[in-house]
Amino acid sequence: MKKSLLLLFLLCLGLIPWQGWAQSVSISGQVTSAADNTPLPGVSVAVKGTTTGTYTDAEGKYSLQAPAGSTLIFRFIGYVSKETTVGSTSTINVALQESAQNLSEVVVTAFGVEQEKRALGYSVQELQSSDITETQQANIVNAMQGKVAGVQITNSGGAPGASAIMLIRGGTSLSGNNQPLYVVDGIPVDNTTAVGQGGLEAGIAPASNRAIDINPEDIASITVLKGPSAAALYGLRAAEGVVVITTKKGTAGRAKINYSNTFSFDKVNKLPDFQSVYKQGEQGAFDPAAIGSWGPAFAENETRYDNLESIFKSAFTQKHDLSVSGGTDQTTFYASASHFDQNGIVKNTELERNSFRLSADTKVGEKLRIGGTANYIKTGRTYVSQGSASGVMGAVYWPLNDDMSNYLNPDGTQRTIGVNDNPHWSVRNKPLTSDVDRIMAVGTVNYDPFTFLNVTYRLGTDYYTDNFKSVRMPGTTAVGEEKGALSESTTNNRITTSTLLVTGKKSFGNFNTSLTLGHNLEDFRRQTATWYGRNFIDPDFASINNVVQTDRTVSQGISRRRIVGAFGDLNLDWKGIAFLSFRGRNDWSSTLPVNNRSFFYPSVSASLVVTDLLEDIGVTSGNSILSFAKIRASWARVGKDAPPHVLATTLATATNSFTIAPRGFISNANDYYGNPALKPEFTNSIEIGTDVRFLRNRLGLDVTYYKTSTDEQILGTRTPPSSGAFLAYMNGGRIDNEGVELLLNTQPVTNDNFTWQLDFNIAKNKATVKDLPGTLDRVELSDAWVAGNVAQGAAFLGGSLFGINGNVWKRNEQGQLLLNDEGYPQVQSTLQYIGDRTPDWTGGITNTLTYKNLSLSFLWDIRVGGDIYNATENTLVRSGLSTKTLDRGQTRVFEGIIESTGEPNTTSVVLDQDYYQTIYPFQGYDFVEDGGWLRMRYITLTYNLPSRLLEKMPISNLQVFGTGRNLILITDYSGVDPEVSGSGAGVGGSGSFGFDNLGVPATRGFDVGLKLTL
Amino acid sequence: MKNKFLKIKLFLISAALVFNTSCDDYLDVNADPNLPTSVPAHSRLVGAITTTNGAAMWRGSREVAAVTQYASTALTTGTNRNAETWRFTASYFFWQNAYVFTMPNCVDLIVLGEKEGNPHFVGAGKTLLALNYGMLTDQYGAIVVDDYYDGNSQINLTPTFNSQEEVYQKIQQLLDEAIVAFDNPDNKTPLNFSGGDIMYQGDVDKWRRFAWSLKARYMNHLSKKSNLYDAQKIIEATQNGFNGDGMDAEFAYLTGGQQTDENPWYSWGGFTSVDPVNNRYFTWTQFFVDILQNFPVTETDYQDPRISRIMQPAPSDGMYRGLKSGLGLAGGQGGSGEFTDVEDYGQFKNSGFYTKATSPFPFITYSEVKLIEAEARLRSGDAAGALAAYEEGVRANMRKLGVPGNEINAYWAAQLADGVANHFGNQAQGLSHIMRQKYITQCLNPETWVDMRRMDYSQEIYGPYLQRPANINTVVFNENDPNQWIQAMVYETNEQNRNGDQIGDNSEQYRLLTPLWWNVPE
Repeated sequence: MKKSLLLLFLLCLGLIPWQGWAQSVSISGQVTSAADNTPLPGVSVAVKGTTTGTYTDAEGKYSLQAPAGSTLIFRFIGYVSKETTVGSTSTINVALQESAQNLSEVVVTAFGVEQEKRALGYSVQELQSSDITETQQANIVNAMQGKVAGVQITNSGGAPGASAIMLIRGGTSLSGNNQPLYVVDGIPVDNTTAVGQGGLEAGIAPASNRAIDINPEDIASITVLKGPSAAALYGLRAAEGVVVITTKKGTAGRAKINYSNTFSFDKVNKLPDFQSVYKQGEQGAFDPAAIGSWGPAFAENETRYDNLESIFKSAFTQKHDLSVSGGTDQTTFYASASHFDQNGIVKNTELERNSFRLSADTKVGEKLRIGGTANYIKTGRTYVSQGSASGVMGAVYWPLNDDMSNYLNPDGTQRTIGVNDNPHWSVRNKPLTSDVDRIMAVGTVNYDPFTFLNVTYRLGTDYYTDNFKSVRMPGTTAVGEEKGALSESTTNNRITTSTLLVTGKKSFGNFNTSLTLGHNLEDFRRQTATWYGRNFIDPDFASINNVVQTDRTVSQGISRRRIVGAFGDLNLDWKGIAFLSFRGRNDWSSTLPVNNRSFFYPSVSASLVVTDLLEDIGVTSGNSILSFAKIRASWARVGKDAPPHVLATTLATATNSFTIAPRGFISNANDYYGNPALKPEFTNSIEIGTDVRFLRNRLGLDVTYYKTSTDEQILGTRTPPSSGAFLAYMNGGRIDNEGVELLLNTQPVTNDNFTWQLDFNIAKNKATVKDLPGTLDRVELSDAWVAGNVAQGAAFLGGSLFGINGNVWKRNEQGQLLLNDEGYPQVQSTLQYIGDRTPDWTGGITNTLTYKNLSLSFLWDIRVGGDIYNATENTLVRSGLSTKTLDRGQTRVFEGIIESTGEPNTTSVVLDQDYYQTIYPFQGYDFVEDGGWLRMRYITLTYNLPSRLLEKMPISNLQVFGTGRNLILITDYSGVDPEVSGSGAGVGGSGSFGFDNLGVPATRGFDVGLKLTL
Repeated sequence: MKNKFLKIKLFLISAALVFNTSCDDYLDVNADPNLPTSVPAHSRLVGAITTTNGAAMWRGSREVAAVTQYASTALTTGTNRNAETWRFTASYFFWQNAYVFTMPNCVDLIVLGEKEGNPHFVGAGKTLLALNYGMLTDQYGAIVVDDYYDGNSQINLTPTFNSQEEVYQKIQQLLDEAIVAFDNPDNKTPLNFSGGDIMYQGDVDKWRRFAWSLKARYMNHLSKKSNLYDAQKIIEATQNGFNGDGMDAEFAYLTGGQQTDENPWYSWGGFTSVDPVNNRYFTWTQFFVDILQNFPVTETDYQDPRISRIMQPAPSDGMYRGLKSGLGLAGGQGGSGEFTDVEDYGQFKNSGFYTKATSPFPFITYSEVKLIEAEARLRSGDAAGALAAYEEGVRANMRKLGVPGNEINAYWAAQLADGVANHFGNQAQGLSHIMRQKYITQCLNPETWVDMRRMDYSQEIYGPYLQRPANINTVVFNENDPNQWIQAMVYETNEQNRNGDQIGDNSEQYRLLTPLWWNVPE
């Protein structure tokens, strides 16, 4: 390191005088957009290899002094940079091409700070507005699917408003949150997914992830900061990476009005196969009261009802977006209104989002700029329970000879079989609703007292109220709730952030330095009140007031966290060729013990633009095949605090429904044992990478290797009962993540009429549990249990963070089955590792073909490997509808040892109803399947009406488009669309993705719409 | 220019000052706003008592009541039958109900009592903790004592186990310390200060007698340990223990509140099914019926007046009947194949003194103490003293169950006529009397399982009615060896998974068949 610095220094010494001899000429000109010839304001114009530079004004004009023979570089966000040699002419006009590749030169890193991408010593990936909107996803998290290398996004199903899980480079936490921080216009916003709202089990009613409130149309760009190096400036909450969202702002000039709409049609994508040979009954005999399909074979012409299909319908969605933007040199504004109304593929499911946003910036004098944004969102969601036989996928129990859609008896009561609710009755009588009112507001003051100093202060708050309600109308089969029941909760969630940044810039010859000092304060508060009532007095009126006082319970939960941070960011660059950055941050967190609450973490990163260096020292000229090459490296450390309120053990007055009511305070066995000695946990990471581009950037390759290690984790884990607790917080355990990311951007064809752009991204991550406290060999997740309780998510020592913990057959040490006296296998009493949900690798291929005004873009989303536990199939086995049960009645001699005698088994047993209901489904091993896929995530065709057609109308731009989503899915998975999650995105640690647990399956559909600009 | 610099400097300095002074206050928001983390000892006593009963002892008897053949299941399928056919696995959860749901409350009581200067709470905590250790070790043998939660230090992730011999010393030590604490006059807050002493309403003398009674019980378990068994010490302890009616260690369950306020044998313990055959236990066993209808030694027919206070007769014909363990309703009365209808049996739930909504579930009673005394006197050669204690033990239990004096006297007269006085001249016959009365008086209490194992499940003691269950777990037990009985429980799966290095051989074969330390004569 020292040597290379010295070399750089010597080079500078040699070069500076040489430059001093060059003759300067005065140059001016205009920069326009090559697409529509409109002037581009704010374009950076720099003399290559010097600090000399300027920006274009509102008309796109610039002027500067440059040495003759030098090269001017024109750079602008979203456009391909252009270089021009200064010749004899004093006017240089430049038209910049819009960058279709995601290689724009400036990215937003921290707190609204834009940084040159070339300067970054770590990998970031940026998505532009069109990348997001063309996916036609309601949830911005889903809009990133397949587009960002090393980011695994799993939507948890096809219900409108289903939560999406985002994991960047695996996960670093065994029990805590593994999802990135979301930052909008410099303030962190909430992306919580509530677990077990209203006291319901996690898998029954998974909530939305709250980033769903953000209107994708408002987004100008998203930068994904993948590693802790990039995250150091955001503080401890960024340990899992950051999604930096920059919203659209007004630009000076004539006011622009944009209107766009989308109309969508969806249907269920893929459903599991049922056996249709045997009908309702028990032990081979028909029984109209039996819920299982263990009866006789269907007669040849007997009707078989497609009960599963009957619960789904085609869904219609519409979306309207209106925005107005404009401004003067002094003041700009942007205002938008959006209405989104998505109907689900199941009756009575819906997501409705209305969003209003106003953003304005104004200059006060020369040195002060003031800006602000206010966004009000109202999101309403109606959904249905899932994850059990009484939920939406209850048809997996329903015999095919019976028409499930006939859900009412003649007297108006529910018609059902067995002890579960008829799904058709459930979707009408057991609604779940969530109504969110949310305000996100940010105010920014930007002060430039001197040309070298900038002071920015930003205050923002993100506040929402979520009113959740779950109703079970009278007539339900739920035990204890036959006369109706409801659970409700109201959550108030607030994050307020204050940030002060002081940035000074100074150039020393060829060296540019920039130092930012910052102070950051975050105040989080979440309060949830939950109440429950049962036995409706008036059977038709679902309200807590409609039950007597003794049938009501109420409880409250409050969570508070405050973080104070101070940080510094020192950036050094030499001629824009070599960059070095040091960052350090100290956080003080309220959640840690007073003596451990302060902790510091540094990072260092460096990058070197090899091509420019070679050019600069005269080894190469600019026209080589290799147009750009950069190498980068970084080391970073990031700290993390504890969850709020876990330093002390609480007392409680209740246990569970199968233990005595304690009549007073007892030690709270249901909560974590408090640990007053917790220390912050740290993640260390290294990352190296290179970015090379060939043939004038027509071929670009970006490769990153990284390794992170998180040890002494703040871990909420299970403890042996003889310790006095089930659960305790402690420091312990280590997870290593290692991976490679590769981006390949190509433009196989570019000419005036036709361009074809082809982008690949591939990533592989391995998250390994290296150490666990005590003698633990796994960390189990009770929120990730699936129907039948045969499998759950768990992290395994020496194995995957994303394992599956399940029941298996009992075997001896030689691996032979230990059979019971009758000759049937038995289930082992302890659970065991039965699968790994981590994909071997993930990738995406985006094709964009443009011919004149027509553009076709499509994304292949690839996930290779990664197991899924198919709880839906497990349920089908129990009900007799699984094709696995078609061999019923046949006999089999299980190869193994009779446990009581030790003799090899020779007895043949019948594979009958008892076997399929009481033995076979209690092992999970046979229900683990490969969940890999190749899918066409979307294909979209866009047509821009030629301007000559629009001339007579007051329309400056009109675009129509059609999009198909999920039209092609290639997978070996036997069940529904393998994009599944049992309990949604809210489950921490190992998470619940990869559990197919009777949820609403994913959908496919198409959209048509238009965009017009006045 | 300079002025501006100054301003900025001033701003930064003042900002730094404000930040430093207010930062600690600003960050001081981590106290749990939802639940308290500490309340005084007097608010913790009731929870320590209730959980010792309705968490620890309940889960230590829920399945053991089938092992001791008090009660039987109707169905021949399903998991309820596993207990009575000895299909025990690591999925047996007495362990966690004692260690997690119950005992931290006892330990906290000790710690808080010491901190507050309230030795009576220390005594109550130590008495209940000793009882929990006793119940645990009598089902598992070696258990965690020294490394258990102490209320002060951080919890131990890999607690080591103490041998049963060490545990027995620890139990006596805890009880001795409890007695010293109860004797301490410097106690600030009375036990029943906030109404939490639901057993004794603040009567410290009764607490002291409770501790002495437990001392007698656990010393008496060592009857096979010739070098440790000390009959005189046991007798001394019984004399310091309960000495009259109305001091049994118990409290009434409640109705009209939550379901879990009710007695578990009545409702939430698996007895809420509309169809009684689906309840955890459908009826009492024929073994228990036989014990209540025959005198020991002679097996003379005599219907114990307590039978109608404990059981219900069959709705079909008014007779008392029970099932044979492991055969279900289909097996008929005592496995005879006759009487296979639901109506042929009085139900277990809500049948009498022990299984009503408000029934107490006694930890230890005056009657048991007298029968312990009888055993100790018998073993020390004091037959007359043994008989006297025996008589009082029987009469006390009858009085408690509401048997009128004339019926009690008639019963005792019949016993005398049957030769009970002579029987006490023979140790085995005397023990048969004592153990069969203990069986009745300790109804559903896991203490009965200790007695049965100490007595080697002997038919000489329990009569010819005591047989191994039908459909026995042949993976572990030899189908052809009627003398092979269940000896201990398998450690819980959670302990095995999280603290496996300490547990040793936890296979069902080893655990269920290996006698505990006190059951190995030496």
